[in-house]
Amino acid sequence: MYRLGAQLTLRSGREPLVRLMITAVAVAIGVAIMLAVLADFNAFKTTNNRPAWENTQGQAVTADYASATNAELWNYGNDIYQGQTIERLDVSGLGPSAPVPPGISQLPGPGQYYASPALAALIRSIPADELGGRFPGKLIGTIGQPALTGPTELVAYVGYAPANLATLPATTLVSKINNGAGRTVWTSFFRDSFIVGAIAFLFPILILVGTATRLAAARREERYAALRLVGATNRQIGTISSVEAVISGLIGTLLGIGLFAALQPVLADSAITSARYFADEVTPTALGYLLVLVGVPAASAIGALLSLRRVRISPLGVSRRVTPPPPTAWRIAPLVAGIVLFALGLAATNHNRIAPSLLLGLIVIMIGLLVAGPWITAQAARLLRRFASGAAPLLAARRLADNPKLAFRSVSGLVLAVFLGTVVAGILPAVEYTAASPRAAALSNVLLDGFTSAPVCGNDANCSGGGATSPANPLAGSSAHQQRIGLEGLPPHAATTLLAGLSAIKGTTPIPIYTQPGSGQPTGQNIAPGSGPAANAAGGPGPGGSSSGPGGGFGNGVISCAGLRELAVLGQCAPGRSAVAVPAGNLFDDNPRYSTQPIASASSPAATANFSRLYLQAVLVKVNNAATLEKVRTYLVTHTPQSASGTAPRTFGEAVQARAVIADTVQRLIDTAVILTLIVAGCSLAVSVGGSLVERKRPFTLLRVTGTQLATLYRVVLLEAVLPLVAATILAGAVAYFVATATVEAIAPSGTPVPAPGGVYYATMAAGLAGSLLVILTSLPLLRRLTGAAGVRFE
Amino acid sequence: MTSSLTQPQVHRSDGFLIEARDVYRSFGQTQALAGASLAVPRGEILALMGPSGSGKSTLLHCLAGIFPPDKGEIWFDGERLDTLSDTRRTELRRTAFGFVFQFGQLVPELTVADNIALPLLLNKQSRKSAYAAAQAWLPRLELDGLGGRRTGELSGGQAQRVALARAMVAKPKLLFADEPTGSLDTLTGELVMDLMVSTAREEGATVVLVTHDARVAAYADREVMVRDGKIINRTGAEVEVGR
Repeated sequence: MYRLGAQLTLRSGREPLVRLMITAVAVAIGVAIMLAVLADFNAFKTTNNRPAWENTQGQAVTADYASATNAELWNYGNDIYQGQTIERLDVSGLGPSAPVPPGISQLPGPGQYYASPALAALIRSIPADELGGRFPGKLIGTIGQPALTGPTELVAYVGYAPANLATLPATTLVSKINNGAGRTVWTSFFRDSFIVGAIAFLFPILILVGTATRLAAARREERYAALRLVGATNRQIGTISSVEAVISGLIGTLLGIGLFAALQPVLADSAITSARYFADEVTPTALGYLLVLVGVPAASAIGALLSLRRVRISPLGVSRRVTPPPPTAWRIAPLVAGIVLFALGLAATNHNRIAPSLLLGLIVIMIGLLVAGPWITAQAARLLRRFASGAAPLLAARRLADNPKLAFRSVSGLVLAVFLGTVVAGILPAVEYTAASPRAAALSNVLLDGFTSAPVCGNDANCSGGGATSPANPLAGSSAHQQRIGLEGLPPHAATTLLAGLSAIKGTTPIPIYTQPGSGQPTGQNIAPGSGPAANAAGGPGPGGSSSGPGGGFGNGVISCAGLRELAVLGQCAPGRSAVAVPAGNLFDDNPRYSTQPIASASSPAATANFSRLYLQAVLVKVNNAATLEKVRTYLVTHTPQSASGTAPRTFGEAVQARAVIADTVQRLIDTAVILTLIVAGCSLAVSVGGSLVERKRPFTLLRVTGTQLATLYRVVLLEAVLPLVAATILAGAVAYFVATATVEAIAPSGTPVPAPGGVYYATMAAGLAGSLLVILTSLPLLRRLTGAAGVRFE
Repeated sequence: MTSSLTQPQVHRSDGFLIEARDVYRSFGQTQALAGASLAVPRGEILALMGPSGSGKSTLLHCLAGIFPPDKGEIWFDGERLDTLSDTRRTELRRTAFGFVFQFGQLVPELTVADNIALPLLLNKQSRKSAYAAAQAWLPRLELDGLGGRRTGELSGGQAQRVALARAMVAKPKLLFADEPTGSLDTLTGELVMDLMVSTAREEGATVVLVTHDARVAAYADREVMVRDGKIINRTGAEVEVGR
């Protein structure tokens, strides 16, 4: 029977062979996409599980650090170039067996540094005053893959003499480098998002495979009837059917693996999340390949066997079993359950925790839409039958009512795409609202750097007067001079030198903010960069990277009115004033929506304009282009004290970008899922429509012969596809809008506007519907050809 | 009447509803019709007989305007049919002709009443009047109580009666039947033929019937033989249009 099944599949003539190839191609597309999802997920997992050397924790550096052996001084921080983060490790080995970070064979010495391949390429191609100048010494090699998350990651290991590194506040003593996996609050979120995305188009893929293997089933079944006539049993028919399905599934799977292999370099080059992965990691595991190789043909065979249950193949021909009962309203239950689960998850979610039931609820909602779809289709068919007159609505409505499951299946992928797209369209504008604003946009090219740093001394090695520092008392043990710097910023002479250096860079407009005399007292209120409420959840600190650590109280700052005129959105002085006192601390809020609030107004009190005696609290630097920005940043990094957070200063625009990176990543994931779902769903729809035309060739041909116009049959085909699509899309859109609105109201700051999808959303939905119509329209020439008069000849 | 099987001569005459004049039709290398001529008066029930491959179904298809002939003429009710546009021929098939095939012509998802009403709906008649007309046909063809049943659930005889009702509901002038009892048992076939003939006579429809079964052909007023794409009178008598 197996051999007979293979023979019937492969050597039955042109038409069966064409059907086989169409099925195989459809399966191949689905398999290639499945493998791509598995490959990306594998790369994501591999990257997340790699040893996170940057999470290494050390001990405080004591005055006798030099006696430590097999250890090193470790100072990890972040720099920025063109919005990209540079991970920077300043390191100094103490002893011959000091631990070596991954990716290199030995520690860099003083005046040496290693860079990741991407950073090394940048350093070589960009002027030193924009980037290379930040790394003292010589580039002696590149950092290998074990240390990196992807080929575009920017990492530097910079060697220092121990005495230089020990004096920096954030330096710690490390004897063992972390080799455990790094985890952030977003790791599980991304993992779960992958799962949501995978499920979102797993269903369309399975439907595509199922639909393709059912292609022209009626004609195959007639052949089975002939076999029954010569004595084949139902079991044997089942075997033959399975063999046919397995062969087409296997050919399709192999084609799909080949297609994936051809597209794998493109996939590796793309950044589904915010960063690219290494090409050799963007591959399914062996288990993934095996699952696909075995699972898809097996699923095809099971689908073929299940579909045979709907027909009775007797020696005299094929008859359909009694029409199944219509779907009941109970099919809505999973959707309702998903909505409830999602709402419960939303109630348990906050800025530090995403409740598991939130994503679970989302998954159940998507499953619920698929389960409810046939019921929605049946109701839509009833309405069509009741309210529309004419032959085409009658034929379409009856066909939909006869098998609403089959009718909905062909558009289910499109409905899921609508759901996901609507959720994103509803949520992301709110996310952007919380970060971006017209004021932030106006300040996007303004960099902020603060100098009331945090631990002037961070350890015993760079503190005088003894006494250990602690987070609660970072200035303990520091001299009065150091304390004043910590509280008020750069002393006047250092400030003058710094401002002169900045002004010398072409294309810059430095606007200094001085500390008002007498205001630099510990306020007891720590305004550390990124310590705002959403700091841990967002992309990092506010614009002023090196600033305001614990103990850095932003008392009133003093700013010149001329400087304020350069930055109109921050407010204006009253007429006649030269300088005013302003609450500069607001500028360092981690949310750009708040950090860009005006700091001056007509009621701002006048302040002294004798800046030459004032300490420099912070500086705003307006730049005219990206190259100038990097020159300014290089200058500031190399001429000012290191920040407590270890983050280089950034512009307000970069702060918005950093905050939006999570939203961007989620949007990219969902956009990818939506696009892939649309592709798969489009293929599924085409195969389904084409297949149903082949199955109904005879009645449609005879309808045409007996006087039915082709246009009427076109309308029937269109109605059968469009009606379930529109009905289910309305439901999916409504549920998605509820999800988006509930999410925004629960999580977003008060005052965030309720989601109202704009023109782009509606245009995208219209384009999707138009695309679906196009797919259906491409099947109409097939209808014309199949139902031509030539088909009547042997009736 | 002579008994020789000779090529009949056709003469132009009035009173014929449908005529084929020296019609040729081939499909690829196969010459299906080779100069067939035929004339059917109004109200006649004509049987086209012949062995398999003789061209009788092709002749029916040409008469019905499904295929235009390669050569020759088809006339319907005084109008040249073969030169009409496809749209006009489709309209004629919808309004003036009815069809009963051997099987497979009903739409399985539709109910009996839906199938019967379909031609009227295609002619843009209102739903109310279309279904009223369909309901009226049920008792006539012994289909009482079956109006709401799906046609896929009917027996062969019931399905053919539904097909007949669908063919007649638009009151066609001409009914084409191609092996209407081919898939039925003898008794059921006789029932279907009885109903077809009586219905046609009641409605004043002309019938062109293709069959290979002499018992079915016996229902006809006249039989003609088709062989090798030509019309051969079984009795050998000359076929005069108008007789």
